Amino acid sequence: MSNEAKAVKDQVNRCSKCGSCREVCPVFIEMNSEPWVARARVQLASAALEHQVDFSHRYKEIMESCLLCKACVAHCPNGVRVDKLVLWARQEAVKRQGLAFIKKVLLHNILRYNYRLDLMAKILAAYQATGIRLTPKDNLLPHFRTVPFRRLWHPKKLKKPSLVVAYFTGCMTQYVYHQTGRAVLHVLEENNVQVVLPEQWCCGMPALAAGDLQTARALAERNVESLTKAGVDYIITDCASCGEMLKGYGQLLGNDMARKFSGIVQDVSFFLVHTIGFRHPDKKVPLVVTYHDPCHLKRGQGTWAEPRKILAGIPGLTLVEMAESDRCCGSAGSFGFTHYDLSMKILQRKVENIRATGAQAVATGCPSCRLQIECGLKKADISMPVVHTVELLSRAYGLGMEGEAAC
Amino acid sequence: MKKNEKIIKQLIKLLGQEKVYSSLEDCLCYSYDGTFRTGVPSVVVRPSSTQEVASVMKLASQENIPVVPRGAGTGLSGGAVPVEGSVVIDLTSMNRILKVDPANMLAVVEPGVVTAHLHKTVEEMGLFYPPDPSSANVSTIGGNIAECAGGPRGLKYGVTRDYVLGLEVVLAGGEVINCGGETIKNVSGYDLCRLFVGSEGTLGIVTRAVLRLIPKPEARRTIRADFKTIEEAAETITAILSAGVIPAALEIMDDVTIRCVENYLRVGLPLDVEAILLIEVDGPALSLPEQVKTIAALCQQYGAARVRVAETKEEETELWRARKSVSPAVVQVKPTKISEDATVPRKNVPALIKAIKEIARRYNLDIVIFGHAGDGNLHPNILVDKSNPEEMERAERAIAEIFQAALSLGGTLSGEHGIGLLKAPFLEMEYGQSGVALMRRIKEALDPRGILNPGKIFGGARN
Repeated sequence: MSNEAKAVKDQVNRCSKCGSCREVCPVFIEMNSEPWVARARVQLASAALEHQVDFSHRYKEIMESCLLCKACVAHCPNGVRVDKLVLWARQEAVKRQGLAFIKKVLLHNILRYNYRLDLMAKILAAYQATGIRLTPKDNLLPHFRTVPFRRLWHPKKLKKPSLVVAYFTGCMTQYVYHQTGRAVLHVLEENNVQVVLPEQWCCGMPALAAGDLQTARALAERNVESLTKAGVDYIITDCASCGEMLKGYGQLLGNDMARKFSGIVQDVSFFLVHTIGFRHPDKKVPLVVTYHDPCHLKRGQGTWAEPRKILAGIPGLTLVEMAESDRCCGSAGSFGFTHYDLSMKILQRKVENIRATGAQAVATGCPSCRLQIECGLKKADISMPVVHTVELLSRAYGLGMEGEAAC
Repeated sequence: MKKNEKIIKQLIKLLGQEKVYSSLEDCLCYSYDGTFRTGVPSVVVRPSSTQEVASVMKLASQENIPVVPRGAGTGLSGGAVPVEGSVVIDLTSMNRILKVDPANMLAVVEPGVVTAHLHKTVEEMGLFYPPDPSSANVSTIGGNIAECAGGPRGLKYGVTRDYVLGLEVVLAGGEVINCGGETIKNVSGYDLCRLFVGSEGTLGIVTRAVLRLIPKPEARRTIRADFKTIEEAAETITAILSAGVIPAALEIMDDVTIRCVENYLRVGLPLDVEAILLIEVDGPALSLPEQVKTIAALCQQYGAARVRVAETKEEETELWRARKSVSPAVVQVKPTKISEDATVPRKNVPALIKAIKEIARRYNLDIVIFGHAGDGNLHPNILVDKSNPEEMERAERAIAEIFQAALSLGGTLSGEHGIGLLKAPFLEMEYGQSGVALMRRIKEALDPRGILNPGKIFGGARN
């Protein structure tokens, strides 16, 4: 038995089938039948390992309907890594049957090349400028920028910086949320941290989640090489998913260079609170804000107190906690597109929880969650901005806020 | 195979495509419950009304196909593990609370209602449904009724059977009957309600239940006492009850459990004691300080090394944290835990604990003992690795001896998990040949073809 198969078997063995995951799995709660719960996916992974099932259409349908939100992992008395089992199952399916055509084009022919991503963003921006909407799913598309962030904005050169960090901008900041990128640059500069923007590629999470290990590894290798060459103290991200992915490079590539790389990756909120000890701002931001915990930040990286500490440090800002702040918003990357109705149902509960707080704005630490929540609020006719935590801090340091991105 | 396809077609005709799952993948997702046993059904149906359940039973009985009813599949005796080739009836789509009647203090529910959902709904109205199996956050009322679920509150409030006033049941042939009703008193005819409660899906399928509610206790308080010896802990329990105080929960953790939890939590649990008792009292707020004082004094008097009374909500949570962390703590030792529920008359709890420890030593197994000491219902958990067949075999022999020990101390095989598949081989040990034969006659009278959850309780193949 290969090491990988052994690791899968170990996780399967840990599952006592107690069914606790039925309480927390957002997909199961909407679907309400056993195949859609974590425990069933463990059973199916086990059956696949024992060659009892093929990688059939139904098998893939069940494995692909997992958000990888880790709610089950956090809740499981036995700590079964269902997310890892699901990723293994998806990889095995891809190994045997290859990727679906559209996924193959996106992951192999576009995601791996920055200039093609740039071009795609440009085309989408042009399409959006026409005002045409082909499907309701178009509402899930962010408002694309015609010029990517790293080409448009450059960090200031500081005289005597306390630390030098590489800013991993992530595709969403690169092509959509420039305001987050600007806020990160501003906030770090205010704290005397020199930012550099080395060449970088997609973190590979979309490929990993689709079971395309080959693309995920290829992107990881490129990023490790390029960012290591930059010789920085830390690598900072503003995206929960990118952050979790980069931190996993060590394990994904299994070499020392990658492990060292992963060791210096920090989410921007963690960096601000623990590594640099951010300067408390003096400008008031008189807002009532509620905070949404991204799955990949709270359960993926254990970072949930830090964004709250930043918000608490902003004068005039009041934080009101929403119910189930760490419940998945239903975005999960491309899940919103592939499972539109289900994703919208999961989102609805998030929107209700937000509405109930009576807050004026939502803060979060993941651009995908932001996009999803923006759509949910718009759909529910709630006019409420969604921002990245650092954008609020940046505002308290005196930077004006850009108009909210349209959904 | 051909017969199967015909049945699936007929089921689709009866219920519609979306309520019938027949792929191997779907069937695998229904092949287990909360135990380590599995069985793959040939089809799963998800009816949403009594009529649909009745129509499935009618078909199953005509075609002579085994049927396995199922709720959330959290049972711990294998009651919902499908018989190979059976039709599984997943009742979780029938999940409506039909009414809560505060004047008559009752609730009418469908079987798929999640227990905790009922708890929350009635408690918001100042009412209380006491049975609280540890799986309450996901288990269903239907499953609770089929297994007669208990929980920590059993000592003071009783178990599921004490709250079932009436049932609507679909019989093996598809007939729908009602027993009991919406009155507290009801002695007309045989007490069929009690027959169906705990019958593990072998006599009929509950499609509606009338449940008795009581007023919600106003407040509660928690006390923890550590004892150097199990005997001191047991004497304290008797003393508390003799003093006229009936705690809402009276939980015990033995030394092995304490060590496991402390290794996991590092909260400073005492490692030099044989037992920790967690005692919760509830009732009118005014009466609680007196009860707490009595209990704390008795604990001291009977030799407790330390007594702690929770003064705040946070302290209460802290005291309960150790008990609630038992499950995650013990799996750090070994991945598989086999949870038993041998139960003895209260005063024999120390003897049963001693006997289990001796069995653990002889079979060289890790066994943690915790549970509801107040009602004699212990949960020895055997910690094993199911991929180690030799260890599993030792565990099975140890379990047989634990059962023998419980019975010889005047107890029962099962306090709250049911017999299911796992304990079926031992039923005669408890009731003798004639006792089991009588139960079989009842089963045959209600299910002459033997299609309802065959193999459960009595073991063996179907008829």
